Amino acid sequence: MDLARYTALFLSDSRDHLQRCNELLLAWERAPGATAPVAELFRAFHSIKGSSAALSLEPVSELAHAAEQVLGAVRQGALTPSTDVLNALFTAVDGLATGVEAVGRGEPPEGDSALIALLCGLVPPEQGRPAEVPVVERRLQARAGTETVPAGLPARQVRVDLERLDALVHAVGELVVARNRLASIADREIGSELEQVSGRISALVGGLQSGVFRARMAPVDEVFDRFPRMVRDLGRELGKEIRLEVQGTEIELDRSVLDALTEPLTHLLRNAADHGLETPDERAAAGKQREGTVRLRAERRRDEVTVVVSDDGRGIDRSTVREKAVARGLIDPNAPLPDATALLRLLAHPGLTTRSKVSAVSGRGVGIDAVLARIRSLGGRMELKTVAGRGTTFLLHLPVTRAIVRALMVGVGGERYAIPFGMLAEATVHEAPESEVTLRGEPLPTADLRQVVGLSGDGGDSGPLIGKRPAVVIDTGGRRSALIVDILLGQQDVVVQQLAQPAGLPGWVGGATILPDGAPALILDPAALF
Amino acid sequence: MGHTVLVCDDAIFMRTMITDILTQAGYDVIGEAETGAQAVEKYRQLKPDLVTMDIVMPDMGGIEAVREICKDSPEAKILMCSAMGQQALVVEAIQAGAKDFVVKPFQPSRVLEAVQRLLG
Repeated sequence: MDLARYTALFLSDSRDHLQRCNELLLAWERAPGATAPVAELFRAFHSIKGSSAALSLEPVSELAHAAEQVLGAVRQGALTPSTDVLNALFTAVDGLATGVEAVGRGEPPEGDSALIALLCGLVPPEQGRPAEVPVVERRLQARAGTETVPAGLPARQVRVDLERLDALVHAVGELVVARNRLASIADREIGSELEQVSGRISALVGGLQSGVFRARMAPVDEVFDRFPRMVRDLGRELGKEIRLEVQGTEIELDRSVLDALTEPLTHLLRNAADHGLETPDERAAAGKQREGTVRLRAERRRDEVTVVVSDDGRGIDRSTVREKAVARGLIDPNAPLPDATALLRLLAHPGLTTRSKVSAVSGRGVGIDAVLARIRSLGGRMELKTVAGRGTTFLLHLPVTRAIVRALMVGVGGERYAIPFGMLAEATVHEAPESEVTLRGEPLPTADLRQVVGLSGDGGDSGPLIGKRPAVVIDTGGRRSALIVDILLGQQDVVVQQLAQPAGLPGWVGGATILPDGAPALILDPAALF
Repeated sequence: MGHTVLVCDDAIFMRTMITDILTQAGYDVIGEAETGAQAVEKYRQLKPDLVTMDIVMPDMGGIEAVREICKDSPEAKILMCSAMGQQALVVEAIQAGAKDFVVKPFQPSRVLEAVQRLLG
């Protein structure tokens, strides 16, 4: 028996089933009278039981069997689907997931006899007899009717290992670079056969590139689908009534961008549930529905996908944030109330919290700094909107792919460097004798790219103005700093080449690219400079 | 030419396993079904020499499918694949027209034994 192959099948099958179980349990919890989810849940547990038993994974199959027994009793009307029963089933799903993931890591799954005992304890003893099952089963299956979802993979799809796709993307990236070089050579011979062929190749490579990028796209649902369960659990933990509305689940993002979103979204949703929403009593007192709403929405606009996390809670109190910021010496006591941009910058300051109490759910800091840093590292931007008493909205604007980055090209000492647009705030000028760049009266932490890359001199004579050099203002996680360069060369879309990380490569090297003229250029990660 | 088989199970895991066992023993798996309704439809279309049938499936369960198939083709050779604890269902399936059963999780040898017995 080809064990590895069956194990892989077992893993993907069981993960799908468990995800579906979570969805069905959540739906059931909202409509306890429904019978359709019972039949489908039963089949999901049954299926996991069968395949785990075939692989001799007894701890998994025993747990699945116990959960199946509970559902059997519910189907027969011998057990009321109370909160306790549903919670036990949720716990069973978690227990099975733990077992399945252990198998995924190549470890033997551990048994949970307490959980199995809990599940078995729910089943009335006289209902354990299988003799009564068939009639009910037929009736329920008939009633479930068309609401069932066929098992297995959807037709005409293949699962591809991400590494293979990455290799393909990489190869296409190289091809694009080569095409650009060819095009720049062909441009010298206008009207020649070479130019015609080059034009044709350009079009074909363009098509290939977009095809490969499309193959890497995955619907955001693959990350969103875990949140309904998480928010439900959070609500119970916090004693709040929370409804999560999820929209735009079919919107697609590059796999690598999508994977990197799990953490920041988890963070924002936890914040919304914990800090954003009031308790049911507070809401009622404010004339709101007791149940708070958290929305998670994805929408596509051209080359950008915006993921919106919003709540209809208390909003962020600007004056409290200002007080805290003043107390920490971050802003002047006479400063006006921060606008949305300034507010986000203050919230992103590590250690600044609008809560005096430590919460078990989201800790002391709101952790916006970590979220912002991640979004920027993906080449994205973040926006905040908040209205006191009405709620808070975070907008994450993300590039559809990370394989191509829009960058500002800068030069020092004749070399070109790319700075991703997501990190840039604005451009300014540095005046020679000063050690720091000053922006509207505010001195910024400053670095000189010449020194960073190990060039001597100040490059003063290479810039267009004697004694003055351009500087770019970098915004990393809400903190601004300045990077002095010799010359700004304009913006360009660069194809990011993967770099095998040789030991000793400085942290500020974020990647590399080949420019259309064939010259290599480094992509900077300015966050590592300050 | 080996005998033809239709494999019916809602779990891709089980279908793969049964198909592997039968194919390696020289049988020709000519179709798979993941619901009872599909099983009935594919039986009519493919007229296989043998059917392996899971009991718990969406849409239409395995027992119902056996009943449907045997209505038109009483001679159909159907082997039930049941999980432990479903003895009562197996009895019902046999009454509906199934010819034999194996209990999951199964040894390949047990499946082949039952198949050979049915196909003579």
